[in-house]
Formats: sequence, C-alpha cells, structure tokens
Amino acid sequence: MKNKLLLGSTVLLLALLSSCSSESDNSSDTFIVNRTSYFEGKKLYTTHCSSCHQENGQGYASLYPPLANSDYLLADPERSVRIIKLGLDEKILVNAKAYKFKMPANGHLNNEEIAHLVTYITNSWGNQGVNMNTADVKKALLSD
Amino acid sequence: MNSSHNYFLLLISCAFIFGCSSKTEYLPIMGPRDLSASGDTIFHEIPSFSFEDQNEKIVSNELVKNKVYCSNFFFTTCRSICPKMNKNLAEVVKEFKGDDRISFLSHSLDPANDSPEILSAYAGGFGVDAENWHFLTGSEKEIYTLAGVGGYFVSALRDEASIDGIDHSGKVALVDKNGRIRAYHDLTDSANIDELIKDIRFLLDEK
Repeated sequence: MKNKLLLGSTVLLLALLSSCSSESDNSSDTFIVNRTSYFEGKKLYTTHCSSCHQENGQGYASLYPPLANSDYLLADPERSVRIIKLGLDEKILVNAKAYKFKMPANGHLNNEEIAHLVTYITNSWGNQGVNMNTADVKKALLSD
Repeated sequence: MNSSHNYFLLLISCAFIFGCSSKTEYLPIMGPRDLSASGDTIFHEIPSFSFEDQNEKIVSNELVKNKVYCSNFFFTTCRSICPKMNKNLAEVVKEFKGDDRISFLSHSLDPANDSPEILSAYAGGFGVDAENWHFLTGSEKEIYTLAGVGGYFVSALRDEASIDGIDHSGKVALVDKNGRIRAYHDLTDSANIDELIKDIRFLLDEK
C-alpha cells in the first residue's frame, strides 16, 4: 500500500514538473525571460489590457493596435512604459497601419506592475523583447 | 404513498410545466405594465429622447419610429466590458448594414468626454462604416435616466471606486417597432451574437 502511494505521488510529481517545464517562456539561448515577472505580467495583462488588445495580442480593427509582432512596441519598450502609465493621444503607425484612437492612462498601475507588463508583452506571441525591472520603469518615466 | 405514486406525480407535474411553457410567446413584451381606465393593458415603452451622434446629427425617438432598434450603454475610455461588448455588437451591425428598418444606438455614459468628434474617431475604428449605427452623446442626466428604471432598466452609475469611474451593464436591449423592450442580450460574450441576430430578424418580420 505504502509502495503504491509512493509510486503514485512520484508519477504525479513528475507529471507536474514536466507540465511546468513544457510551458514556453519564449527564451532563446542568449536571452532568458524573468519567469516571475512574465507570469505576473500575464495576469495583469488579462485584467487591464486584454479587453482591447485581445488575449492573443492581435488588437482589434483600426481601434486597438496589435502588440504581437508590433514594430512600434518592439522598437522602443521604454516608450510603451510611458504610454501605459500616461496614455496616448496621437496618431501612430503600427506595422504600417494608422491608429488614431486615444488610449487612456493607467495611473493606478505602479512601477513594478508596469515592469511585469512590459516584460510580458515584449516576450509573448512571438515577440522577443526585454526584461524590464522597476528601476527601468522609473528611468523611462523620468526621461519623458 | 409509495414511490411509484411519487414518480407518477412527478411525471404529471413535468407534463404540466412543459405544457404551459410551450404556449409562452417568443420574445414577450418586457417591463412594467399598467391598466387603462377601460381595462386595457398599457405596456412599457421607451420614453422620448434626443441626443447627438458621431456625425453631429440629432437622433431622437423620431428616427426609430416604426423601427426595430438595439440600444446599449458604453464609454470610449472604458477598459473593462465596453471593448468586448461593442466589438461583438459590430458583428451584429455588419449583418444589418444598409438595412434602414433597424437602428443601433450606443449611448455614451461619459458624454462630457465623448464629444461627437471623439465618437467619430471611435466609430471609425471599427471599420464597419454603417449609417444605422449611432454613437450618442448629450445630457449626462438624460442618458443615465434613460438607461435606468423607467427607461431601458439596465444598470449604469458613476462609481469613483471602480478603475474607469463608471459601473454599468453589458446588456444590449432589443426594442420592437412599437418602442417596447423585447429582449436583452449580454454582448460581453460573443456566444450571444447569433441569438441577437436571430431575434432582430424575428422582430423585423413581425407585423
């Protein structure tokens, strides 16, 4: 009985471990994404961003620009820190398509949350971006 | 009483319940009712209104006279349910683009911010370009009154504690040619798009 229990829990443990490691973190050989930040960012994204930019980062029509494979996002992640915190009210070009509808500010998000978010969005859906930390966010906001 | 007796009673009750529900009219008239002096039922009708749309055109109850229409409440800077609700409504609007027997009225719950100019940019973003989809702005008091009890009976209130400052329903009210509410569809869920399209067709065909 004891042996069976031990075998059972070993199998369960192995299954759990393998399922964790099978979750892709989009890391390459040279770039390792901060996993804690990435998964915190994923949760924040679902709550604060996915209604507009969609769960798959594809955006919607000409209203909400895509984040997945977005040249605008990947060209300057620090600019995205400022956009998340302060909003955006100007026409932008994303992958050669114009978006002019205003994005509201997210003043309620703190620097740590924004760091998680930018780490998540720049390393998801095929994007390869940055590991953003709280100090980077602070710096990006000061350089506005 | 033995168990077969119980079973028999249960069957009879089921038959009775199903028998009754099969007689229920599809899309019954909703809302409070009253009786006239002569004893006729007075049904609830959407009260008169007058707002401005994204093209600075006046949209009042005259525009929807003898028409089927869908009404919802949103605001352009909403980050929670509005993007989903209006994205799903856009799919319904596409089905009836160019059909002047039906109108879609999306009322802003933040009219001071949602000017016709902002609503025009917002409307354009959907890429639907349908003349019968009106994004409305006007007196905040009039819009909230129309949304609430005595109007559409959907919840909408200013709530400074919520992130966007406004709490409101994601339901779309479907109104018939006589100004009577016949159904509500929760369009924050894309699974309800087809049901709304079906119900609009039903009301368009209704005499």
